[in-house]
Amino acid sequence: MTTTIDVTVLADLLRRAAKAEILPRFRRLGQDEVRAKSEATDLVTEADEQAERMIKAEAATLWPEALFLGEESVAADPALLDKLEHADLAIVVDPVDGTFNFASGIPAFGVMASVISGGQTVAGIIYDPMGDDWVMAEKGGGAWLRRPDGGAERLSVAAPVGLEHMVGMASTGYLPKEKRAEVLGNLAKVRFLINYRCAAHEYRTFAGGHVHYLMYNKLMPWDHLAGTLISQEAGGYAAHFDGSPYLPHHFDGGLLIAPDKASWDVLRREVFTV
Amino acid sequence: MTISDQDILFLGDCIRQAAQAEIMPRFRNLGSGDISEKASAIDLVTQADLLTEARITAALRERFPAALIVGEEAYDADKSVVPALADAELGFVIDPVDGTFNFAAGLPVFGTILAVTVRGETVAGIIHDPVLGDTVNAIKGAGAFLTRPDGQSTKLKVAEPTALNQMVGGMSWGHMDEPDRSRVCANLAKIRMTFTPNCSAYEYWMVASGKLHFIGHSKLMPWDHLAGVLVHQEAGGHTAKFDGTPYRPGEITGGIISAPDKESWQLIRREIVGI
Repeated sequence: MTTTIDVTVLADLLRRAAKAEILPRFRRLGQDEVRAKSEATDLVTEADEQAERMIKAEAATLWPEALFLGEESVAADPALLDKLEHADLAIVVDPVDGTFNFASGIPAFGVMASVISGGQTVAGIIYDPMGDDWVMAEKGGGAWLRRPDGGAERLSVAAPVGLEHMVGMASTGYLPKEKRAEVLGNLAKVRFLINYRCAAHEYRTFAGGHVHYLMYNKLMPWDHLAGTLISQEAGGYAAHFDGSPYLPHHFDGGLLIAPDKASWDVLRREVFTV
Repeated sequence: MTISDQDILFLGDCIRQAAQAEIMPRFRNLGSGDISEKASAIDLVTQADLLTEARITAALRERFPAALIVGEEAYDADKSVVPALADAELGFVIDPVDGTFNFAAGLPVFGTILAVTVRGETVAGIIHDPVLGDTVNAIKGAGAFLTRPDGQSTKLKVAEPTALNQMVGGMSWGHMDEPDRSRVCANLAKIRMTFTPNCSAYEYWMVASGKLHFIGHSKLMPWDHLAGVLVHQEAGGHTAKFDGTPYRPGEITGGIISAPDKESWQLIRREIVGI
């Protein structure tokens, strides 16, 4: 592999795409309730497609060797996913994460990208269009909150606490039906559960040290690669339910993230009994 | 005591100005030092809370000198202000920063809430979103409206009733005790999607505009719920305490559910709350 990707250039590209294609479509709904619903769906689709198109086109110019995977590209060509495992260099993009919120006018959505090299995530970027800042990480370099004015703060996960004091996010909707009620019932053991319906903001909140656990079961790479690396670089512990490492070409097996291994073990044993 | 249209305009301006002056400058405006970041986030939340409440309280005192003014700060100093809402001739209930967890985490999902009560009845509710600039208003008997910063105003309406497994909603169980806690948690598996933004201001806006089918809460601090419940009712929804009685100013126990209609309300009480 000869090429490396300057993550600040990729981060800036996500921001420009958000300003050009995403923010102008946020909350641009008509007054009429029925019209608003179909319009909302259209606007989400347009924001998704146009932002991905712009990022993909510029990425192809900047890094022509890199495999490009986006949610929209994969929808058009599912075979792209199989290429991730063996790609020398790949860029994985979620143009609008939190589309349900975006469509509902709720300002909890984000733009995410990760860089994969030799089967490992080497960089992750989460851009927040509303707040105009990034949380990002390069493997081995820590997790950082960066602002367009150049300001940067190092992020670290929360200090471990007992199960009954934990606050976190768990996406239970994709668990097997028979396990969903069990896990939800177990969640009564933690202090409370938050659900933003937006992985970008959930990872951001975890890496900033505001919550103690994240759990996902549907592992599309554009939803989780960037956030998992950022969480790890902020000091967190991430693994599949069976304890094995989560890698870019894994699409199932569950993902549980906690401030440390001991918290992870408690959560796995007491709550996420999948 | 009646509240005029001019009063409502005054109240809306009052909370918008307070939010602009005291909340927004502190949102995401954390120190640049690594070590001080978390401590300063909490300080900023606290300052935003205290100073916004003080600013709104001062403005209300000047215009309504005899009114009972209730906020978290006022309550911390004197717990009797909450039960006093049941009889007060005119009361104002303030939540300066609702959704403080999100505020501190840097998520723009929080709001400023004001309720107006007259002799134990909520007569007006205002929910303001300082980041996007939207204001939700309800006046008893006159409907609920969302006004955008450009002045465009939309009447709010709750969702159409639907089957339980199609519902999107949330029931906050964080303040429930066992055995209710585990039961309610597990019952949420029966709905299509949960949404728990941990912010009453957003939850009531969403449930009143049909973006959520239902919400429910066990802890009823008046600043979290009075304005939102009126907004929901004026948007056509049915809100009542778990025992079926109306939720009134001054009450803090009993739990409430807000649903599109009475039948949906009963379904949610039975299948989610499980009583």
